[in-house]
Amino acid sequence: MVMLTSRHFEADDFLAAQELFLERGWTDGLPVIPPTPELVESMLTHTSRASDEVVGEIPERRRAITAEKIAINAVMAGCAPEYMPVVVAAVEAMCDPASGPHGPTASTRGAGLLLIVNGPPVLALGINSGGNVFGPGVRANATIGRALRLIIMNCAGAYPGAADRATLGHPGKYSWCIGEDESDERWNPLHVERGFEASDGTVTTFWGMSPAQVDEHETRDPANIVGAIANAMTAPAPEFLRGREIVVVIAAEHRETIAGAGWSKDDVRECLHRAVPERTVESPDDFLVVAAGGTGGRFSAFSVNWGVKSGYAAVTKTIEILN
Amino acid sequence: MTSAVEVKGLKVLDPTVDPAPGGLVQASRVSEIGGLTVGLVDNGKPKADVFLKRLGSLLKDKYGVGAVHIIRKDDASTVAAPEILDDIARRCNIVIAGVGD
Repeated sequence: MVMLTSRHFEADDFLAAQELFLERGWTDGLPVIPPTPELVESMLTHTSRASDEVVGEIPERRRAITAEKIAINAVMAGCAPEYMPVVVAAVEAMCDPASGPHGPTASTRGAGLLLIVNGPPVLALGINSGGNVFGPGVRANATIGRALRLIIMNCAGAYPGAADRATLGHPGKYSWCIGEDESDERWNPLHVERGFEASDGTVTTFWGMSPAQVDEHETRDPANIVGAIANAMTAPAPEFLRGREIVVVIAAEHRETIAGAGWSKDDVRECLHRAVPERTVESPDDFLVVAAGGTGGRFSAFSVNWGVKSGYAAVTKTIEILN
Repeated sequence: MTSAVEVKGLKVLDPTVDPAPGGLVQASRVSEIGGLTVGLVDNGKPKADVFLKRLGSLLKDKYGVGAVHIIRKDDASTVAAPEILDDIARRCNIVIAGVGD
């Protein structure tokens, strides 16, 4: 039996519920699924957490985020109940002290929260790791990422124009969740590199600035592809790489060339680290290399962290698998 | 505080989290700053030091403040470290902290 303690409101019908939520500023501007007690209870049956259990805290804002509030926002975002463990793990990661959510959810620099899912949940939940990986079309990606944005607004208080003072923001602030394509056994998945078992489901949170796409269609030399990615990172303003982690998403055709030449992810990281200016990215390990994105073009992409690793690191947490 | 909407039909739950109560207690005010030692907290943003140095001069020249200590945080988005807070408490009669960019 789930005990819900959130206050409730009455709305005439579905459309009236939309107006209610929009008027109060509780949405991202898009319609939401009205979080009725029945839907919220269904969401909570997919986690072992009690409804009043605190999953994450933001001490600077004196806010504690319970499983019940996570479930309400996940329903609003359109999540299927099976996605609940991913959303819970993402909140846990985001609120980890190493992740430091207070700054990146408030700053004029306008970070999004990128979620990278690894392990069995990628296939089990149908999380896209292929074509259009940053784009639309897949419910799991669209709604899990959106749930985190609604939680950042409604539970962390980072409403645009209030605590969220972003000058530009970026489209990933609506929703930003990808899976890693673990089908190519030549490369270890991100979670294995970060010390988890391949059989673990994990989610990694990352305070990403808007992703930049790197086009490199000419070369078949892995060093040149990786060099092009490093050049694209360095060109705008190398000082903004200092102390940062950087997510590097390598799509299928670049991957085929790089892995096909016998390069591991370590080789990619070391090549990137040699190519960026000294005293910017501190270690090859600060490049989070992710296999994702489809075929049909020779592209990769990267996203630079909003802040330095020492205060605003990528954090990986285990996704609960219920028996 | 918001109130329930008085209409019938769909029951929907509040998605928001309120801040826990009682987090901040206002320090007692002083009626006169002449002769006091004033702490100014530099949040680490570029040129905060320039602005606060000028502010410190004005406080001394116009209001007769005794001394000004400027204390720098490493990062605008993180809470001042306990040793910084202890240092302020030891050295200053009053402290001014603000948010700026």
